Amino acid sequence: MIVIIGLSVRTPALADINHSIKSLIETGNYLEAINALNGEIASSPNDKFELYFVRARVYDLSDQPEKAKTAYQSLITRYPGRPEAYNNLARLYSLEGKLDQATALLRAGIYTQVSYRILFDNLTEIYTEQAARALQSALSPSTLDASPVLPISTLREIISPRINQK
Amino acid sequence: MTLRSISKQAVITFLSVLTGLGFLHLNVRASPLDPEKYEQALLTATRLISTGAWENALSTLNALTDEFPQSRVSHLLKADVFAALAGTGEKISKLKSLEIESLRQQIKLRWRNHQEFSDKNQGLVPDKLIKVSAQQSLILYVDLPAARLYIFRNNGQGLVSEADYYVTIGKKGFGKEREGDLKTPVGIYSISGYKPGSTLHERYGHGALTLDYPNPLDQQLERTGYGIWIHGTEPGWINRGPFASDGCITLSNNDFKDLVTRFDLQSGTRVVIDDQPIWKPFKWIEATGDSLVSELSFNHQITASPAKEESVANSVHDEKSVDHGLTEILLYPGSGAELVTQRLLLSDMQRKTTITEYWTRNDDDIWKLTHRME
Repeated sequence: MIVIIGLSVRTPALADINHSIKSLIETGNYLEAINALNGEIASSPNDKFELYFVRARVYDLSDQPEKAKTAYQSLITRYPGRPEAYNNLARLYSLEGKLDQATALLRAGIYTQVSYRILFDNLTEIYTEQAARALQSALSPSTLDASPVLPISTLREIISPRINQK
Repeated sequence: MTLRSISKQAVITFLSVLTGLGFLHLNVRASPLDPEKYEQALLTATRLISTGAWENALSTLNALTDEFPQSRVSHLLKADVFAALAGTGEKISKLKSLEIESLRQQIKLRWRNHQEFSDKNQGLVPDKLIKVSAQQSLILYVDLPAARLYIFRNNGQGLVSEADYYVTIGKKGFGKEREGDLKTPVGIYSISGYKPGSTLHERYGHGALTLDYPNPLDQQLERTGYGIWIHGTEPGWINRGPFASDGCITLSNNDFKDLVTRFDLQSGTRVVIDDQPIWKPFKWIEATGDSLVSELSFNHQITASPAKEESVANSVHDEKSVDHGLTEILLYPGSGAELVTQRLLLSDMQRKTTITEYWTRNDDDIWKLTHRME
């Protein structure tokens, strides 16, 4: 069982993804990796959660945040009981400073698996940051005027999903 | 499958449906807030926080900071909520800085006033306002410990509270004696004028009502200083902390605007600034007023005027004035006098004179006239 989560290395550590896709991603050939992943998704008879998840991450790695967001959103709709996509989508929102959305996603994600530590940590991270900002505004409200929506870049990403325990 | 796991699955499905429909992209902010409801919203948020209703508190506070971005107390309450959610609430509540303390004091004072006013003070009147002259249709009353300015309407049958506002007073509190002591005077004053904000330095905010400090009694007691006003708030703030002015009484600009536009304040409107407020039922006020009228009328005949004011008194009496009795009786806050009365004299030339008399009680509990001025 592989339970590698949230390391600072952003290279995917993958379980069932075939070797050639893995090396395409590792060498930065994201377009080819996505094509290969699309092929796998179309043909694989097994559960495709991990393939979808990796594709969402590759969109993110290849600087296509809108596509990544849509991909994570559709993962949440297809697999509402799995927390990984909630977390990573929350992270994308936090990078845009959309903290309310990020918070709501993390809270929803925690409902799916309360033992998933990284979601709690990320939620605490947002709340702590928001507390600090609110305190700053309490002391000098004008500092907030310049940029009302500030990103948080410290949320941790789930790199490899847990193997579904069924 | 247990009942518990069914309900959990139901929650997950429900949430996923919401996220699928783009629920999370909705703007969760509440609709714009009526400026007059500012304090009410602050109190609502405080109550929600005290019951741990973090989400509801946050949405109230978001509405507040959207409408009033400079509301520091709202930002501080928000910080409290986020810290509680993060589980780091203790760090914030232990955070000590003068500025944060002052914001906390403001919240506490508003909260305490709200609590006490809803239960204890309902229908009560400050004991200083024994008999307000019929000429005075409105009277301002500052409850210094509560950091509150009240406006009462004198409707002939009693006093009715029309509005009250959180106020800021001097950095060093109250009991002004000397120029530059940064204290707010305690006593009874009158509005002497109105200055719109456009004619003043920006620190006066929306405008100022000027007061007659030092009044004749202050002058007798050689109190110094000038420019004690009731005014708005400088840019960058909704309200200052409870102790932040140089001696003036300041309101938020919205509250000041409300005060001067909703009420027909006149030059001469009394402003009672009280350091030891006691709130009494109106029946007590009436009974005290009746007994004071008889005590003072009796004492007035036997008490000699102090030498200093003799010339004033004599000049009035030379015209053979007729005493038409006490038109106003106010217990005097602070030191220097215990009671101030207005007495109407009508001369045989039909000249109306109002005499102001200051009284103190001697050791035998007998009222004694100490100062008398025209």
